[in-house]
Amino acid sequence: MEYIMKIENLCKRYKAFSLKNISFSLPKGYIMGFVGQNGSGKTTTIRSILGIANKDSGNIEVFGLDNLKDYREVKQRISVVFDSLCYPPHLKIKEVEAMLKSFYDKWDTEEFHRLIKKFKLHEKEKIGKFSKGMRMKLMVAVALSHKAELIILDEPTSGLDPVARDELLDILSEYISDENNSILFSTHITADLERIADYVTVLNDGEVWYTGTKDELMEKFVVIKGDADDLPDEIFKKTIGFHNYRNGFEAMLDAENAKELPEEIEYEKANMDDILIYVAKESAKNE
Amino acid sequence: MSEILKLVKMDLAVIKNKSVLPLVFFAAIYIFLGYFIIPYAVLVPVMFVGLALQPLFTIDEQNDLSRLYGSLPVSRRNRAIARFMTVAVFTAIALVITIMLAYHSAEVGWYKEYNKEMAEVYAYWSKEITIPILACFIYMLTCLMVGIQFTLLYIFGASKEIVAIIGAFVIIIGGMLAVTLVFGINIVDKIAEVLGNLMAKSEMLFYIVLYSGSVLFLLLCALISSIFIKKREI
Amino acid sequence: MKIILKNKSDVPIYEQIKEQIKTQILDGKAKEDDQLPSIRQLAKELKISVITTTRAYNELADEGFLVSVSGKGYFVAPKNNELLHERMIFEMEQAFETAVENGRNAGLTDNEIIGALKNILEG
Repeated sequence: MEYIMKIENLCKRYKAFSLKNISFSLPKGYIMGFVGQNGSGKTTTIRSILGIANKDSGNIEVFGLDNLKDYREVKQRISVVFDSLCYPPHLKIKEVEAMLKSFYDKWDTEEFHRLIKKFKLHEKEKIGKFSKGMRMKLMVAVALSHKAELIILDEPTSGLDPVARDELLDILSEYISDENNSILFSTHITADLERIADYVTVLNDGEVWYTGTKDELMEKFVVIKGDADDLPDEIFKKTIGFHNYRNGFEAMLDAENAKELPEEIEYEKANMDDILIYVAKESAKNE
Repeated sequence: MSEILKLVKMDLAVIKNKSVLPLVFFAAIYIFLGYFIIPYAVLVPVMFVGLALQPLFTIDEQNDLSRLYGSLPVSRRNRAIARFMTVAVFTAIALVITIMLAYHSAEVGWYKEYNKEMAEVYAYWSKEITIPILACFIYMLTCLMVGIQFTLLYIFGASKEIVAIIGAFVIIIGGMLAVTLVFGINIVDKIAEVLGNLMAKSEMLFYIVLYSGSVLFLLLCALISSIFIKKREI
Repeated sequence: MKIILKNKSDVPIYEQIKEQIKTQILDGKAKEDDQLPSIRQLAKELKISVITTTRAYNELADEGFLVSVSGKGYFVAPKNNELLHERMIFEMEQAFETAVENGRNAGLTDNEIIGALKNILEG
């Protein structure tokens, strides 16, 4: 399997937070969802990939090249879409294009204009006046206009209405239909990923909690509810994020162990939101 | 190299829309003075370059443009070098414009009518210090000031504009005072002497040394700044 | 090829895809040698993961409903394909088992069940 991006033992310390041995790989031609609650390290990881944050140790390879030493070639072939506008807001679309196109060997002017039209972006307005959805689409238009083979998105849908989010997923679906393209999509809006992601990496508190296929993750856990008295001790030890309420308890459990549950305890498949919540609850307990 | 050129073009494009107009207003005052008091006054606005280009830092910080730079195929060091080369280029453009205006005001001669004493002083000065010579000196001074100012901005942050401007003054004047006290020489006289000698040898040499010296100083500031850029992760 | 997915269903998406493709083949709506949309095309149209569509297609190929031609894509298997044939017989037997169980639960005798079957075959 060819990997478009490999991260090995990425470590980065800040005063109040650190990334510890982040390792995961994105196979070429697929979408990887990058999830975790706010503060779990997603943006720091992305900043490390781009070299904006200085990693303390670890290897980051993109297209088989070192992300720092070979930054020129790597950045020619990747695009990044951020959660907020990353261009000077007093510019108009024409000026943004003029500013950026000289940096990219493969800039495709026709494609850029086609996308601007398709996204219905106003060419006469200053981009600072664009709505959040339009800003995101502008960054996506830029991202798709220089034949990038990897697009990294850092929470691009935060603050967007469902219509805009759906439009973005459409655009990404189309992009990934070419098997030479890959996507790394960080978000905490898990609904986006539950359908479209091929792989998922879950970060919790600066560490990788899971990395693998989405399908596997979606089948891996169940949420169990019931009366705490009915829960056998050996199973209780295996629960994740156990919490006792007045009316009973809730917890997450590896689906394999679900067969051993007594009848009184109900369980259903855990979705991505559930997983994030219970994982967070579990680490809150361990603090 | 071409990376640096592209970044300079980007800086100029960004600043074009933002800061030039307000400062033209202030420049107009000095130009006015230049026509009516003394032609040399026209050259003063060149020193506003620091104020004119300051918004580059503010825009960078307010919009977290480190993300944009992080996604473009450019290095931090080239970013810093480009920022200081923007100073060199922008100052040069301002210089050319003001030189033309200075010559024009000297030719038109309105100042002779409104300020007869100044007219005589100017006639006297302009034998030793012509417009090109003064312009070159102002270029060097501007690059010195703005170079230090921008380096301070990189070190302490784009929001510390006032700190940077005051800091630049303090460093230059303080540096001169320190040299005077430590080495016992009057630094102003010494500089005038050196420049005079240079001038005497050859006017061409004078221009070459001062202009290239200014650009080299800016490069030095760029290299110092890039250390701090890396440390502060911008 | 029309495939409609129910997100909120308990049935995994790859299963839903398999079922709907199978039904279309068994009903005759998808004919022999018809080419299916590529794995990526289908993923794009349904806005789901490529891995999911890959799994659905691969399993259908293993079960004999589809044939994978390298370089070209996936095609509906020819009806005289042995696997498909066996599978269809298996599906028929499954249906019979369900029918017999239902009949017995309704209190019918074996002969009454056979009679009902005859009616269907003749009707």
